[in-house]
Amino acid sequence: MTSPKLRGGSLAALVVLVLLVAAERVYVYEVESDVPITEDVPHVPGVSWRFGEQLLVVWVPRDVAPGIILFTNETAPIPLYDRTYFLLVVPADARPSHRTEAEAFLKTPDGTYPVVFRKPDGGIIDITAHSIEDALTILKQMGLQPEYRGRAELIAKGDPDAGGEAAAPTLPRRPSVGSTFDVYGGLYFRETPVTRTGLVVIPVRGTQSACINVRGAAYVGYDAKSFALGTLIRGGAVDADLIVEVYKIELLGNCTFLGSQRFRLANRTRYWVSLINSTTSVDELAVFVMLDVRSFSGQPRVGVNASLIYARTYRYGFEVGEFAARAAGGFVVRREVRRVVIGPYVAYDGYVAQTVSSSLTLTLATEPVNGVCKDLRVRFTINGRSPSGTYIYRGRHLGLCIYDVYLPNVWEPSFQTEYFYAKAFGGGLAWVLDIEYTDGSTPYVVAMFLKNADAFRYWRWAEQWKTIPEDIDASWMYPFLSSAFEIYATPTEPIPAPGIYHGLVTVRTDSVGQLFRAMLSISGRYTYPGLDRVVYMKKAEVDIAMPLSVWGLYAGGFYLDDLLSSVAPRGWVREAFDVKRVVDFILMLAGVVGRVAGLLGFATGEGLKSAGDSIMVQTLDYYTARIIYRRGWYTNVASDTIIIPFRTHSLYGRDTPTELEITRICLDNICTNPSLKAYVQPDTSYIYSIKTVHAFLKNWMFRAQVSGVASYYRP
Amino acid sequence: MRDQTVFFLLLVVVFSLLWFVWPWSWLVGVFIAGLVFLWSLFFVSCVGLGRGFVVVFGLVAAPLALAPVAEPLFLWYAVAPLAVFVVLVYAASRAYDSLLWGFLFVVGSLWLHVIILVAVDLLTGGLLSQAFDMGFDVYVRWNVPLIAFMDTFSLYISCKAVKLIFAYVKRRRG
Repeated sequence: MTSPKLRGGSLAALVVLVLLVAAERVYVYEVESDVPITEDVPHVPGVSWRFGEQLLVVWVPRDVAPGIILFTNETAPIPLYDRTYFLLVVPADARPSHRTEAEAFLKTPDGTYPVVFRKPDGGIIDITAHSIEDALTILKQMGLQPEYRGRAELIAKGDPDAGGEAAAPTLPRRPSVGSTFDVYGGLYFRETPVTRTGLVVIPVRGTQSACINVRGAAYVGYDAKSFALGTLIRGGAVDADLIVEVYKIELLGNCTFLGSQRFRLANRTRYWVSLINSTTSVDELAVFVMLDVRSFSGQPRVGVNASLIYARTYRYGFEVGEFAARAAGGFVVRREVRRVVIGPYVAYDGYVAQTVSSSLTLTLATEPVNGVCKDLRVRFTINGRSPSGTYIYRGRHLGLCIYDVYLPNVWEPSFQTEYFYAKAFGGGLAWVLDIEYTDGSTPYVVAMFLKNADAFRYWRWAEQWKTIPEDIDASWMYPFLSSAFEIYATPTEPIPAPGIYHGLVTVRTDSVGQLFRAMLSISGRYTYPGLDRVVYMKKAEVDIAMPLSVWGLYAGGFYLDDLLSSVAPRGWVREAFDVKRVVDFILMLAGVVGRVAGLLGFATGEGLKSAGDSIMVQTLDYYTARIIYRRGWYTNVASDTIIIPFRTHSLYGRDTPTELEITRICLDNICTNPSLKAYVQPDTSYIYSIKTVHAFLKNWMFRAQVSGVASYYRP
Repeated sequence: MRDQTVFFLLLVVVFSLLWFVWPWSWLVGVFIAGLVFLWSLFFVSCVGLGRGFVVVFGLVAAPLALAPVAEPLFLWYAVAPLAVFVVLVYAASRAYDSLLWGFLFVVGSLWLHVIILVAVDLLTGGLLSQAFDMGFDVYVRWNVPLIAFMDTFSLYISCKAVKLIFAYVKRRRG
């Protein structure tokens, strides 16, 4: 559905486009910068071209080297980008003005340009290319006539390292009630095929539009400070404009048009949407995205995602949850590698700034060089782009050279930059370690062992709605907050195969008035990439502690299918349980009761019990309960995920938030103690304001855009 | 082997050791069937094993293995213990010429063996209870061979004891 305002707008844009048809000549420089570039991009004062005073930043890898990827447990070429190394695109006839005070100078073979940094005039924050050739192709597709002119330097005036490598590591802190902070998150749009010219709507993912009168609009909400869109084009080429319309959501869900921005569509490109800012998002905002396609070739599909930064105040003590990502196990490498990729992990939405931490610890075993263990230099980068420190490790000679690699801290500015970048492309989080001997040679890595420790851990925010100071918005009736734990591990038993285990546990606190008070979801699978085989989780144990009695903890069990169908014996297995009761009664009359039947009773009884999936609850102590899921030997349910809602008597009638702690998780035979926190909201003493417009529109949080209300199917 | 019962005891234990490597799939049904079959032969050998019993217990155990391919046979998991019990009573009553004596032999042996198990459980600080409670688990496998050994071992003692008691009583009665 398009807006009526659009026709006039597109007509005007068409006129502008006609003027721009002639390909503009641009110079491309390979730049070494002493200023890391993020969203504040170089501008040359006085220059005037289709992107205003802005220069285009195109990322190209600094180098590509073989690395091992945890996700697949395989080796592959891994590019390493660097925020101080990029291509700069300058209009060929640039005539800079020297009247404005420069923040830096761009020294090129064609002369020196004064540079200032700010959010992009022309809307394009950056473009990512695989190589310089790829970059030139992308620029040509944008209607430019690029000419590579060699190397250049971007030299900052004054302190060059402000905000960069020299940034002092900040200690992660836990959010405290009453504090205000930045919250990062993402929006997700549906990947859309381009099959015709003209206007093509890119709808929000999920079924709910933020506006009654604009179908496919995405909810942004209140107090959004920054907004960046990222594009991914697959399967063909598109010559189009990307149109972003911003709406204000009125009281009853109708939207009024605030304005629109039009950009030239390019692949792997980030756009700055300045219309969404602290001033405009005093109102509740929505955003609508479409393409104005001039031509296309192949069968292109356009994917759009967005990253956002919000200002949020922590008021009630239950608006945050925790995310922890871990890696564990041993990996046989046996080759020369320069990169180790730990991840990718889901970049869970709602990252609360200043809270990231890591205790990444691994042991590398390398082949000695001429019988000597050389010093190993490890450069930690987030997503292979921003640095988080470089350290040198001395090897211990134990036949092999053993290096104990430990990351002392995460560089917060780097993490924020990369999180914001990744979300614009719907991407995840990974550590990319660049390893080399201090003499520059590449180590032959025999194996590596990851200690079961956090790769990433941070606090995450639950919602994007403005909370009313006195009350709680009605949207809190259906909160959609989950604390999440993600792990990669290698299997050691039962089969030491070239596989990798991927597990995910989330605790979603349930809303008041629902059947349960919290909901656990457990997923786990072994993947054997080489064998093209997946084995679903067979057993899981999760220990939950709370400062209340866990007595009478009741847990349900559901498969994550369309209906959330119950984990319960079904079919003849279920009938057999009924028959068993009768037979047991007869045997009891005959004097054969319980364990008297010994091995016979055990084999048949337990055999039947373990045929189907089951959920069990064990009380470990007054405060701790263990929830156990077992996949039956006869079960053929094709699901790697189990949803376990639970409740205890003690969680009812609460007028303060309750802290749950996941103290231990065992997925199959991989056990870890994550100490993951989740908060259950109180169910008394709170007044709900009537503000229902977006109560069901939980489009921001977990697993893209879904309604936050789960329904249960009871057979 | 001189003592047939000892032979079957060892067979049950050796078979149960296979559990350590048994795949967690529909094949578990085959394992259970094997265990039930061998255990039944073991018990019946205490009072006298005939070829007929091998066939009968084979027929009793087979549906347990076949249940995953013919789902209604899962009902047999409920009924099988009763069927085995009836056949055991029949076998014992043949040996003691009376249904009542046969019944008493089977129930008496089972009760005596559970008393021994309880004693062992107490002595080992609840190890056996733990093993029984564990059930069939995909990753915890030690419990099944332990139960198989302890159960057959104690049942061997108890059935021999009951046999002696019965012989004594019969002698007294003349």
